[in-house]
Amino acid sequence: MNSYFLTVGSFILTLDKNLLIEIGFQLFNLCVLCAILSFLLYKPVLKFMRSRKEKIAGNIADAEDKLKNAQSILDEYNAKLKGIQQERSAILEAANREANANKALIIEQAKKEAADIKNRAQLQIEREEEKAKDKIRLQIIEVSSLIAAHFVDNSLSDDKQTKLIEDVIKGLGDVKWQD
Amino acid sequence: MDFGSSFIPVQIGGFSFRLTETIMDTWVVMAVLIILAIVVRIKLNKFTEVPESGFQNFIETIVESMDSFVEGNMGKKFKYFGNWFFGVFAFILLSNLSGLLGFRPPTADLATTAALALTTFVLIHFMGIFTAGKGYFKGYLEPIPFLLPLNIISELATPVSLSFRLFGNILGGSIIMGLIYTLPVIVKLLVPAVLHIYFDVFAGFLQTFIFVMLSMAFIGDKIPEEY
Repeated sequence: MNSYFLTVGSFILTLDKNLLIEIGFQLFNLCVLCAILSFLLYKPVLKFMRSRKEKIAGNIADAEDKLKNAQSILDEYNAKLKGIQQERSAILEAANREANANKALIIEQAKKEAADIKNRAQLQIEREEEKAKDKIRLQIIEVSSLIAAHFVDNSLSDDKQTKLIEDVIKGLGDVKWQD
Repeated sequence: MDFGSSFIPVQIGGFSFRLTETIMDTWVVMAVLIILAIVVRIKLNKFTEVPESGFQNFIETIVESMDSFVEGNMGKKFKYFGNWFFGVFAFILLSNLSGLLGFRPPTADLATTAALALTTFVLIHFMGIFTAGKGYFKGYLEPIPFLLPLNIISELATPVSLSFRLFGNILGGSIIMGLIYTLPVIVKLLVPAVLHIYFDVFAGFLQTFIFVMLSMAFIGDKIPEEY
């Protein structure tokens, strides 16, 4: 093997004081090298990888948590939906019941009101009829009084009497019309 | 033919030592790894949550592989050993692969492999004492106190076997590759490429894996099950 620097000798194996000194040198070199490699390479890279691992583990745990949360929210909403459907059915049922009750009540009230209106109308018709009868009676009395007065004032012939009655009747029709 | 590690004798004050090719190559390997680490540190801010670049994929793959490898062998509580073994793994692997570029692999020197094995040895017994306390030493008297010397030898054999396995394999590969390069040019056209794949890439990966896995297993053995 060719040496690349000027030498005064070479050896393969010597078991002497020089070997111990060289072991000491190599020990020192080895310790320095391991310390530097550990400080500059091994530890920082390992730290980087560990932090990445922790971050990924954190992300996975986070994702699992979120998945669990989402699942629980989904379950909650499903339960609420189920509840809402039941609630809807109950509300609809209650509303139907109430509407039916209201319907019966309204129909009853309407019937009662209609009956009242009918009764009131009937009563008013009867009153109007009475009034009309009273008026007619009064007019008949007036007409009779007028006829009697004419009879008293004039001696009447049959023709005159007939004419007089016709006049009275005409007059009566005018009076009625006027009323 | 010289397959040894070249050196320059250095004297600083009263202290003399050999500045070996292994140490120089180790600095090259260290420089490459440190530059890579700096690049990663700079680019880390641009890393995306979903990796988009091949570079990010590559870095994340090796770091995650080491992290899960350590966790699988030593348990979740001792995952921090990944900091150490990542450096050891990267250093041994790049040292073994440096043969591809004509360097003498630092792992082809006993000083390097012994240093690596020594750290494993210290960690083995440190973890034994740390987890079992004083009771750790009682284990050496089991199953019978008479076997204490054998137990001690068995413990001492661990770093020796670890260091010599790696050293022998990589040095063997280097020597064979050196010999191949002495063959005639016509042989050098195809044969070295295939052998480099075997000795530097395959054996390099395999020996790195074996060293790190055995180290983890030996340290893990000292950790009681209740941990």
